Amino acid sequence: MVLPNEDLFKLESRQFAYNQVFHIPFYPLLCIILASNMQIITFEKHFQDRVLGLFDKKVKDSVIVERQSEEPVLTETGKTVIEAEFAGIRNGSEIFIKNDITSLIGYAKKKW
Amino acid sequence: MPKRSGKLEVPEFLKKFLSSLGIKDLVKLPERIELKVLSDNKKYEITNTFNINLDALSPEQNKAFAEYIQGLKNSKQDYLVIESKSYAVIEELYKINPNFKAVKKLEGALLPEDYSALEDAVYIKHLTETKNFKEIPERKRQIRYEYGERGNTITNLYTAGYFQGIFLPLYDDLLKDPNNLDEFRLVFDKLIRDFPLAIFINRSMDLDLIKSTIKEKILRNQKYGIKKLHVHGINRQNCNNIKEAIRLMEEENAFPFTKTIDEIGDIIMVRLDF
Repeated sequence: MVLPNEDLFKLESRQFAYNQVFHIPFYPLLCIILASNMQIITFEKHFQDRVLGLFDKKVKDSVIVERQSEEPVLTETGKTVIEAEFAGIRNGSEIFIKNDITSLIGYAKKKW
Repeated sequence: MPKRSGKLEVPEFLKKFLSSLGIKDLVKLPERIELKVLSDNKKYEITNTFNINLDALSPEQNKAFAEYIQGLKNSKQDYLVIESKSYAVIEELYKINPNFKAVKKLEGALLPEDYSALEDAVYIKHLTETKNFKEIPERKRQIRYEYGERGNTITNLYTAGYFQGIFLPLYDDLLKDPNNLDEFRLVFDKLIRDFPLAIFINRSMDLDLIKSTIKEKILRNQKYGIKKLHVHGINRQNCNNIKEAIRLMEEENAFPFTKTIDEIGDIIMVRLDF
C-alpha cells in the first residue's frame, strides 16, 4: 500500500499518540503502515549502457535516444538527456531523470 | 526515501530470473536491487540489497534479467532505476527535508528560477555542513550553468546564512501586510544584484583579484555609509588566499580596517570594519 506522505504523517502522528496512551511499541506497526511497493534498482556507472539497453535506449552523439527511432528521450520538463547527465528512469511512460541537483530535488519533492 | 519495510514480495516476473540463478526459496526481496561489480566475479549476493553482477551472468541469465525488466515495465508496479550516486543524493534530500520546508514560504515570493536555485543552495549548504567539499564544485557548476551568476549568488548567500539572517526575517516583516509582496521582490532583487554586506571568493580568483574585489566593495559601501564587509570562502585554498590577500592589504594600508577572522575547518568568514 502506498500512501501520500501527508497521510503517512497523519498516521504516524496518530499512531504515536495512541502509543503514548496505551504504551504499544511504536515502530513495528509503523513499519507495516509505511511499507511501500516501489521497486528500486540502483546501478553503478559501469552498468549505465547496459541499463539503457534494457530500456531499449542507446547513446547517439552523446545524447540518449530510442534504440529504434533514434528520437531523443526527454525529462519531465521536456529536456533531452546527455549521456553524462543521466541519473535514471522512473515509471510513468519512462520518465528520465537527470543527475543535476535541481532534477534530483524535483524527483524527491514528489515523495515528500 | 520514505520509510520502508525493507522487504518486498517477490514478483512473478522476477521468479524466472531467480530460478536461473538457482535461487528457489526467496520469499521476500530486499527493497533495493543493486547492479554492481562484485569481487571474485560473483554473480550475486544478498545483503540488505540484492546485488547483481551483470558482467558475471551467463547469456541466459542476462536474458532472464532483461525479461524481468520487461515484466517490471509492463506491470503496474512503481519503479525507479537510478545510478547509485544519484540515489544516495535523493536519500540525503529526504533526510534534510526540514531544511527545504524552512524556505518554502519564499516559493511564491521569488521568481521560479530563483526559488529553484535556492532549493539547490539548501543541498549545497548541507554538503558544507557535512564536510562533503568534494561534491561542491561540480554542484555549483551545475547551478551556474542552470541559473547563471544570479543563481550562484543566491547559493552563496544562502550557504553563508544570509537568508536565515536577513531575507527570511525581511519577508516575515514585510509580509505582515500581504500588499508588500512587490516591495519584498524589489528589495530581494536589489540585494541579489549587489549584496553590500558580503563577497564570496572562489578558486578562480588569484590574490590580485581578491584584493581588488575587496577594495571595490569597501569603496562602494563607504559611499553608501555601510561600514562593514564579510569576506567568505570555502575550502583550504580559498581560506589561505583570503587571509593572504587581507594581510597584503594591511601591509599596503591603503584601506584602513580592522579584521575579525572566523574560521572553522575549511570555511572562513572575515569581517572587515572600516
